[in-house]
Amino acid sequence: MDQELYPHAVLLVEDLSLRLGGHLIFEDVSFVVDEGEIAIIIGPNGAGKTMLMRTILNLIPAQTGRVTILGHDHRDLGDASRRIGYMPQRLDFDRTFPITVFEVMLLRLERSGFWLHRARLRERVRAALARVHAEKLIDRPIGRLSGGELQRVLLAYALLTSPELLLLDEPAAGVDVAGEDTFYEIIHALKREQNLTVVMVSHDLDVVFKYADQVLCLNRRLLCRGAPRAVLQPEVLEQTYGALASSYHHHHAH
Amino acid sequence: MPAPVFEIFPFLQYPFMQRALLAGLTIGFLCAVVGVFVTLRSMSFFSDAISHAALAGIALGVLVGMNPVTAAVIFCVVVAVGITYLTFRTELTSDTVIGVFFSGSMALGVLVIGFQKGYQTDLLSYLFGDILSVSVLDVGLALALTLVVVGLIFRRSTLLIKVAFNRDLARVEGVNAVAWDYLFMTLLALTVAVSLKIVGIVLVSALVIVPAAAARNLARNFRRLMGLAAGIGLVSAAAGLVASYYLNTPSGPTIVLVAIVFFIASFFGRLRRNA
Repeated sequence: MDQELYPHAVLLVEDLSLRLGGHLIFEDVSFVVDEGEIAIIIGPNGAGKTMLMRTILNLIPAQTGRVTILGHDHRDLGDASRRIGYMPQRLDFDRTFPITVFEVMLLRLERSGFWLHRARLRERVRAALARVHAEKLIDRPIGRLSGGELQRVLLAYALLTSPELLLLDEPAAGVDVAGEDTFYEIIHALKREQNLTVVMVSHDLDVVFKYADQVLCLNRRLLCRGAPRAVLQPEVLEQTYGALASSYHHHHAH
Repeated sequence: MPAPVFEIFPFLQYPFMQRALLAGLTIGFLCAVVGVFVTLRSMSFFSDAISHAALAGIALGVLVGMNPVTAAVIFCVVVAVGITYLTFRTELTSDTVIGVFFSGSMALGVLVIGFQKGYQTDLLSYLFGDILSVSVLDVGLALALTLVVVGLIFRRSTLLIKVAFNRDLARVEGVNAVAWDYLFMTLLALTVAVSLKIVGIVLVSALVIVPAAAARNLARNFRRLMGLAAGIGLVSAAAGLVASYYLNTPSGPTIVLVAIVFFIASFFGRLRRNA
């Protein structure tokens, strides 16, 4: 694969393999995500989804393979890193860290003027929070937010520099069902309005059928990729999820 | 200085007190600013280890005829870099690595002191701090280092806070978190080493941790956290020094106890706010 062969590719993953401590996490994963696409990675627990996401972002170095993001090798993104938004599955941070939502957002916007709390930036942060219906949270300490509120703020954080590619690792984890719907609606609207490319991990096949342009089934290897209705056949689900597949399949027969 | 100042603050007519106060204020401020990041990164034990490593640095400095504070600065930086390197390169937890360096450098310090006859009295001043021994050079060193460290921290605060808040987010945004770790550990080692003369080896990490901990009890945002910590650090240093002059007590423990009073007050302040 080559960037020239895929002129619209925002993310190119080629023959990516990861072993940790002698254990195979995933191998020979290759796929392309084009501009404006929503690609959703599915797979059972322990299939390597989060690790794949982290390897794509070079948070874990891969043994073999190549990742190209926005035309740059992922090990040397330079300024292109500002064009990527990332939302981890669970943000590990000290909940007693005395920092407000506004200040966290400033970390993404400012290099040296953090202490000034400029009014101009406050407006920009408020607007970013408003897009995810979270403007009321601007002065709340981040450690005191509920799971759903934190996810919204993290999405706003990821969107703050108007990225072209969003990588979301189970973004709706910890969000209640009503909140979950709105969350995916927001992402879908952003894709429509700004031609944003989104790669996300999800457990929920409903979400896949409703929003994904491309689904990637992962269980140590990539078992399928393509439009959900074309590739999510019972035997593929069986292969991906094992015995669990039948219940997933029944769920979607209706 | 004009005469009315001496009437209000009679101790300021002594040059050694002028030097001590200037150095104390500088170090109180510097330690508190650095301490905010130390407590955020849960590195209190690390700063303790660095200050105790200074003992070996001082002892080695005396042995080879080098300025003890300069020797302590070098030794502390070496230990800080060593701890950081081993934490990254081994599967040992950081507190285990710190424990090894802590006890190792203490043992080395005590051993080297044993080679020196008649050094023990001088050593006491490094263990608990001695305002009488603060020289013009010490004040200059503290001021210069404060300018460098605080300047760097404030200019690059976004990066430092980001790395402390969540390393993954920082790394995805292109921040070299490992390089910032080394840099911060080095700044902390420098801070500890120049603070030795005022508060002493045993208590210097208290001056780093206590103002930041007290501020953390009260602050709800980061800007206030930094402001409160710096304020508590400055006031503790000044009040502690003056109290130690009048009460004829060692400067280090007196300063630290004043900071502890702030910590206790902040704890009750927090209880009241949450009630």
